Amino acid sequence: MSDPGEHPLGLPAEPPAPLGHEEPPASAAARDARWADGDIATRDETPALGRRGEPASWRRAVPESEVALAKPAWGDAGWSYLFGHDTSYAAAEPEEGAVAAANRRMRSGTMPDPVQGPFIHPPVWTWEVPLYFWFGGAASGAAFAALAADLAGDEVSARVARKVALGAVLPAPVLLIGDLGRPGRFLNMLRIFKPRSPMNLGAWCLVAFSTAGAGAVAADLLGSQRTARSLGAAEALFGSYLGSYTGVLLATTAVPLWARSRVFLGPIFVATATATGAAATRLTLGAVGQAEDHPTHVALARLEAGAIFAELALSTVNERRLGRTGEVLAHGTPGLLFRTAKTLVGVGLVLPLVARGRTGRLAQNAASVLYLAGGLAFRFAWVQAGKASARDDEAVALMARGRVTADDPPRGGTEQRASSDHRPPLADAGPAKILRAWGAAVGRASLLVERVVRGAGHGARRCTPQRPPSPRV
Amino acid sequence: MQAERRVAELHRRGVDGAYLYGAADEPEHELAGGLGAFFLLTEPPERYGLPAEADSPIQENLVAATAAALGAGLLAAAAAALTFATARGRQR
Repeated sequence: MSDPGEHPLGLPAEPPAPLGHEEPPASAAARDARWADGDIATRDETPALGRRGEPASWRRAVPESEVALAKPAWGDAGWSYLFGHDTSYAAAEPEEGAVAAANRRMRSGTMPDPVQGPFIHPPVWTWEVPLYFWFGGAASGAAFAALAADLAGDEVSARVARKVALGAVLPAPVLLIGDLGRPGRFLNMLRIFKPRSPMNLGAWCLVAFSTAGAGAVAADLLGSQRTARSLGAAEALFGSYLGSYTGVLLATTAVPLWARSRVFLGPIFVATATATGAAATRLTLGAVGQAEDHPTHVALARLEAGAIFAELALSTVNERRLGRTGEVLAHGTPGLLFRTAKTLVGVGLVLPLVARGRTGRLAQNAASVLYLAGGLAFRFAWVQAGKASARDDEAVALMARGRVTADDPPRGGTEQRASSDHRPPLADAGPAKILRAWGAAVGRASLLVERVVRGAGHGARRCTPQRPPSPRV
Repeated sequence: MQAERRVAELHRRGVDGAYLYGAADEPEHELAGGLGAFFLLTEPPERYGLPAEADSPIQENLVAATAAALGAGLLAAAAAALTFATARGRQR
């Protein structure tokens, strides 16, 4: 500004002085002196509702009535350095659509560089959550193995696999409660049923999975083969969600890395789950003395290698399409974790191919251990990378604008918002139609279930009166 | 709305960058379906730590992510069964 006394809008440079009787005390000490004991005349302690010292009685407010504690002299809080007390300066109505056009123009114009963050808070998850992902995943993978062994007619292995699944899922609620702080917070999840919340569905799924798993193991011990088989099948069905919902949980956040990987995170997590579950089952079967050339042993070795290969392939494709958003996968702690995980599982893939004979058996077991370790590193890497991505202010701002890099064109209308990256939306071909129909069916079903559950809850729910807190002694 | 009149007045006085963040949008351009709070700003929203567009990540991603995840979960279970069946078949 050339002349400090001159305002760009032709207004006085000095802000208007507050009214005399509203003048605050000059110092905090002066305020305390005015509020000293017994001198409550200067301090309005009238509650907004009810009388002092009593629980507030709720009454509908009378229109135009005065509100306790309101300061009429402050007006509509319209005081401003620009315009002073007088708020009638903006009496003229704006042109139709002019403000909306200004909003659109300023929100779609060039993005400032650098942007002023932070836009979102990074997730606060500590080590319990990725470890829970790992245990839950291994449990669901073992449940798949149990179902497959049952279908193939190998009941001995199926029994062991069901025990592995139950053993792997037992630490899961403990870890979740550890993350939340106390058991009541986990139980609160089970007070509602909300299909639109993957966290809520996951909590229910964990309960259903562990119940079915415990029932199946109990039926095994009691010698009821048919019950164990059917409960094991139910366990595997719940496992297909338990092992994959964690990916959905991450994808339905505003963290760019997770949200952009939305259709990849679930499959990647399932692949890790299958590999770790199969590896844990195979190691356990080996420990209880199953022969190396037993068909179940061979099948599990193939399954874990195939799942790890699928994991690596999906991760690679996802990284390539993420572009700018995926940069956090290569740097810092998450980058280190990802490289570690990939090295571990890569060595695990190669080891059984090069070793033969007696060393081959050792190599196969070492590969399973490497898959388990690699899977754990992958879980930690994804969570850490999400934290890094949330701190990447430019990525958050670009995702909000529907762009991955600053060179991409700005996003169009709302119908394009759902497209997950810089590629054009899916053409209206056959697969796209099927995908869309499947998506719409899942959405409708989830809404329907929620409505039914809510309708059932309405009849039974009663309004419990709120007890006032007991006075402290 | 008074805020809209203020924006118009600022435009009239030459502050072309004035706009409302979170109010007075056409329905299809609303932030996350309406915010319930708004600001009168004069710079792009990213200068204030605000996203230019905002959608509910649940509304945007839940269905696609769940469909992909559940599909992959069932596929993995089927793949496990298939691996076992082929391994057993070869053994015989």
